[in-house]
Amino acid sequence: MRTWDLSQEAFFQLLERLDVNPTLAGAEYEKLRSKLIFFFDRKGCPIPNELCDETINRVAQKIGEGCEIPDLLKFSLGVARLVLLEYWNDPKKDWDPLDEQLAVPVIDREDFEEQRFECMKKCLQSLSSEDRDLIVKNCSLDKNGKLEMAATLGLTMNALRLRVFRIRARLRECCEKCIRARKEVASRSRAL
Amino acid sequence: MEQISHNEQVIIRYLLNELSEEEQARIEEAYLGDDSLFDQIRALEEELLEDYVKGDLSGLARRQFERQYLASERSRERIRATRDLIQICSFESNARKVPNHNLKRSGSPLGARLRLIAKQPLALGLGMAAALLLIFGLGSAVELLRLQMRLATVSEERAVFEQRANEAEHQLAGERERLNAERAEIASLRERLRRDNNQSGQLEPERVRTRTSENQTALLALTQGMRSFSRPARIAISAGTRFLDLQVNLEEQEAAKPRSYRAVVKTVEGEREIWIREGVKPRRSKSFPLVVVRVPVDSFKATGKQDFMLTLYAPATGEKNDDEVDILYFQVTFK
Repeated sequence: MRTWDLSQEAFFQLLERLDVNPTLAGAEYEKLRSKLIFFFDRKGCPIPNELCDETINRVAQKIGEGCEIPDLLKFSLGVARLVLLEYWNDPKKDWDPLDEQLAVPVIDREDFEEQRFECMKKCLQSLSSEDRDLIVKNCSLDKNGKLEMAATLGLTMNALRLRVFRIRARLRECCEKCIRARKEVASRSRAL
Repeated sequence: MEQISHNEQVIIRYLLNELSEEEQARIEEAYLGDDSLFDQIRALEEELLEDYVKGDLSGLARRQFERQYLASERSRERIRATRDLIQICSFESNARKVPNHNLKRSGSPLGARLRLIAKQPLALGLGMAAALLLIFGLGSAVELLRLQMRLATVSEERAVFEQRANEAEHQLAGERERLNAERAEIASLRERLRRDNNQSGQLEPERVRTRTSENQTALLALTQGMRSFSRPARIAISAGTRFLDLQVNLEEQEAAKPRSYRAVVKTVEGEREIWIREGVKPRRSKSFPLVVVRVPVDSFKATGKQDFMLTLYAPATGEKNDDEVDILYFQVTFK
């Protein structure tokens, strides 16, 4: 699989194509990235982040070369499908070093799961009481219970689901930060 | 796009990889350009993960989910995280149901009642306080026991889930190995076939000659459709053939009569008899009765002719002349 390092200029050109407003362009870039990662994940790829980066690299390269791309998102999806095909044809080529870097050592599994559990408890407590109640209740209810809760809140089932999803997304981010912070503390104390 | 964003069943089928390639491509194009649709898909995915962890997915849906979501470490990690969240929420929910033992002097209804009780005679007051403490203690013990049982259940579920994940991983690894082995076998069979084809190409002419030289008897089937002189059955006899079997299919009503036949082969031109056989008995094949007579090829060759006829005679009862059962025309040529 070919790799092409994304130059700064090409990256800015890509951002500009996503949105002329630099503040919004960054958010659009992140959205595109998360959608492509989701796409590769749904297709069963074990390295969706890497394939997403490869896709974005190639799209940026084409923009940098001055190619006419009327619909950037559709073009990106087309490139992603091509990258996916190339990956399935030869999954091992050029990806072994990254696989080794990404593999979580078995010995750290229990520690990691304990840290995640503790971080999740802590992050749940850091939510507002309203958000926390919603998450806690939502976890314990079945489908009918959720329908009743949505009705009580004056929401459709879809709207309730989206609200819960967004709170859980914040919970996930908090959890990831907490785990990273604990890892840093642990590695510093080992270094000492 | 409006239809897709509201069609939760289609999204769930997409997540479980049940859609056709075309339908998948449509959804992917749709969510790439629609942030709210993308959020809806991910929200449904989280609900699916939750349903799986809680054991709320039906047999078929669960199997489809496991096939899709246990295949990658990333997805399995998400399932573990969902399980942790449900466990934490369960503890949180149960903790809220435990009664508050902290009594406050400042105006709580429970505190007022206890002050009232304290005004009663000491023994009664002590007794009632003891009873209350006992009730609270029992309640706490029951609640603790319930929490412990819940924890045990969740731990069991976790163990079951991990076992399922391991089994799915092993199964996947086993199937990959089997697939690779089958591919190797197919490649090996292809190679063998190619070699065999090369060899049989060299052997074929020799094999044919052997068959011809060993085959001393030819067979000509004479059926009803060939009884007309204008459409005789034909056979080309190769060198080395010594006999010609003439096979005649009898009609059922003829076969039902238990009798033997006289078979006479004549030339069509001049009706010269070249071969006769008496006492020919019919045989039963799988589907119909038939008569087979074996005629030496030299009999045909000696005439120098091509057109012949076979007549079957059956002895008639009470009459001098035999019944003519059938006449069949045929041609014999020599290679």
